[in-house]
Amino acid sequence: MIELAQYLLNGISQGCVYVLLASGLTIIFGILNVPNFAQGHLYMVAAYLGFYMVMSYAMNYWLALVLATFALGILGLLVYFFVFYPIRNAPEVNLFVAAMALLMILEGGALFLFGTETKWFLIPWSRSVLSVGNLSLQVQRVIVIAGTTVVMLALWLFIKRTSLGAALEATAQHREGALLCGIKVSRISAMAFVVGTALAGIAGVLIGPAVLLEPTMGMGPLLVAFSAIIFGGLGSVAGAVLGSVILGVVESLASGYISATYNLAFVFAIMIIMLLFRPKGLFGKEVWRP
Amino acid sequence: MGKKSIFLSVVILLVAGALVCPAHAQQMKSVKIGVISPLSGPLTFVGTSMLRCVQLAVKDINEKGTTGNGPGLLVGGQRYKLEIVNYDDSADPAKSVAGMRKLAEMYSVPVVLGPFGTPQVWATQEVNVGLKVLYNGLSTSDQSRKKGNPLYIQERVPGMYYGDAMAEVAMEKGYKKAAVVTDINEAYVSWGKRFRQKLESLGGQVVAFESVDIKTTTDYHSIMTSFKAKNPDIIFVAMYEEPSALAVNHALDVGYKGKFMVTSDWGVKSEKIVGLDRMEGSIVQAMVHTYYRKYPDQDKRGYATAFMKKYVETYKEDFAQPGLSVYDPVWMFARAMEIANNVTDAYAIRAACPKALEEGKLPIIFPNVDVLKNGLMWGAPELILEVKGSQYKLVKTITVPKNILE
Repeated sequence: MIELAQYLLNGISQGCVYVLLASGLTIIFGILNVPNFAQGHLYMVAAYLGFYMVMSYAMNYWLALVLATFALGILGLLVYFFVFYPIRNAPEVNLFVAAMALLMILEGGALFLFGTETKWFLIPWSRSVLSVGNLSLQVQRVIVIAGTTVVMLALWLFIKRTSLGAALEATAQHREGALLCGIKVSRISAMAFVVGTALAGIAGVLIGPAVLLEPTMGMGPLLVAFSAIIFGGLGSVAGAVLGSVILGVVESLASGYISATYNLAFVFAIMIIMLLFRPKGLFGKEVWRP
Repeated sequence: MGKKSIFLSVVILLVAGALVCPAHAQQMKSVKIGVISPLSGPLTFVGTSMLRCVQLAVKDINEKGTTGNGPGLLVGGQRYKLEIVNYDDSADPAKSVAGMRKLAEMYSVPVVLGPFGTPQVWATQEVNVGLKVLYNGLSTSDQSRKKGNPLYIQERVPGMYYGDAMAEVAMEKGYKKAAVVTDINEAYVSWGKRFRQKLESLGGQVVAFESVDIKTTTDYHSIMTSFKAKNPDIIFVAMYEEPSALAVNHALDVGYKGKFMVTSDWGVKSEKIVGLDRMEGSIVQAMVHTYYRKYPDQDKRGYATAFMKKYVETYKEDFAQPGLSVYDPVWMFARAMEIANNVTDAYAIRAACPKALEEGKLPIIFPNVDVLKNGLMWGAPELILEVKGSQYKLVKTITVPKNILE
């Protein structure tokens, strides 16, 4: 039982990283119909930003978290206006290609700027572990769980309790309808990108002290985050959250009870099973095709 | 003074001058040596270190000679300086092959250092004999020298052979139950299997064995949870340096209280990531420079310490361990050229390699004394260390017997 509880705890903490990535992905996809393949690399950029702020400039970790989040939000805005906005009326494949190109640029840029040597974040509680009975978790991972909970609560309040959030939801539900209601869809789209990339930023700085930093660190979590949004339903933040936690737990249980070699295979298998039996995912919209 | 006296004086001066510096009066020719290493892509740090280590060796050889008889090499009465031609293979086996071809065909290099990585080495072994290039490819796989390639040099005993000694030490220390985690790289899996085989033959037990792809695995918590549930005395970790440190950290995160046994990839970075204070009683299988770095007074020959100091002073950053591995082969190849009296014939140079090491005159980091028929440089001992009070205590010095390796 203790072993199972530990796997669940491990899975939830890893799942929280996917929650932040997947929520950002699904918000961007819901509004813009763009699969932001660069989301994992934006998370990587944030981790490095946090690393340099803390390790090279001796900045307080929490301040670095806030600043990196803002920086990623601004980066998101720039990406939207210079990459996706100009091709907003182009065929969807152009958006796909632009997203892939952005991924390559970010990876190449990271290799150039940060080098290939693995880096690691050392903060005062890097080596601290929280134990309750026979259950243990690295303190930073406890912070990841707590931080994700706070952020998702704030996001929910923003979407459900503010007019901007309502506009975001409306645009995601029906773009043309939102336009007709006087919602400035292009501004909402830009805001969606900012929110999406800021979420990647938070994920990067939260998990940074718990992993090793490399320019390719974003690819693995991105694959699982994409699986999570498909599992949870494209465009649904609730689906992204639930999907991420479920897949994080599946990954952990597979690593523990079967083999770490096949853990991702189980994650993708779950996604495929969902697609076979419920293509729209847990909370996705039905897609009508003539 | 008469005309005859002046003429005689000039002749005497000329002869005296020629006698005093006969070699320096000659123009030094150059012999190109190749370096194939990843200077772009995810292994850039390793590849850059490799190139830099070769550059340092070449600089010293060109200035002082191989055995202090410099400058450069003295071959057949002619002085040669070494000139490096490098190729960036981005750790791609296809590019490693292309690099080998280019270096041989365009620059006529007789010897090459690199490439790095078992797939890259195995790929280049398909072409180097046809191209008549002698090379030291960095591969920790035991299979690399067993392919019968007459022009391949393996600079270090594959790590798996230390699995026996590591298992013996584990049993001596009372760590009878072990869990093993390795990278999926064949060299590390073999290492883990060898350790398991020996431990079980000594009456120990391996309660779990996992191989993971370290390139995609960033979370070892669940693996370590499953290990912890089986209550091992020791967790054997065989991976590159940083993933080893991450795996150890994650084991500690889930409350594992036992010891660790780590391989020679363990180094300064992993010490900083984990903290030696959290590894009390753990065992490290180490190459000599890991120990000398902390305890330079133990480096009786002094070459390892001098090299490490020079590298950091020159490049203002630390080196990647594989870079260190190519330093010695440069010296060996250079001395072998002198012994063979030949700077172009790869076979002649290869035949002279054992003597180059046997002489014991080269300022090499790892004191190898022979090159076996299968191309393995042999003789340098490695160490088993125990972590005690955040320091390393030397437990054993191991030299794997020749007969096992031939």
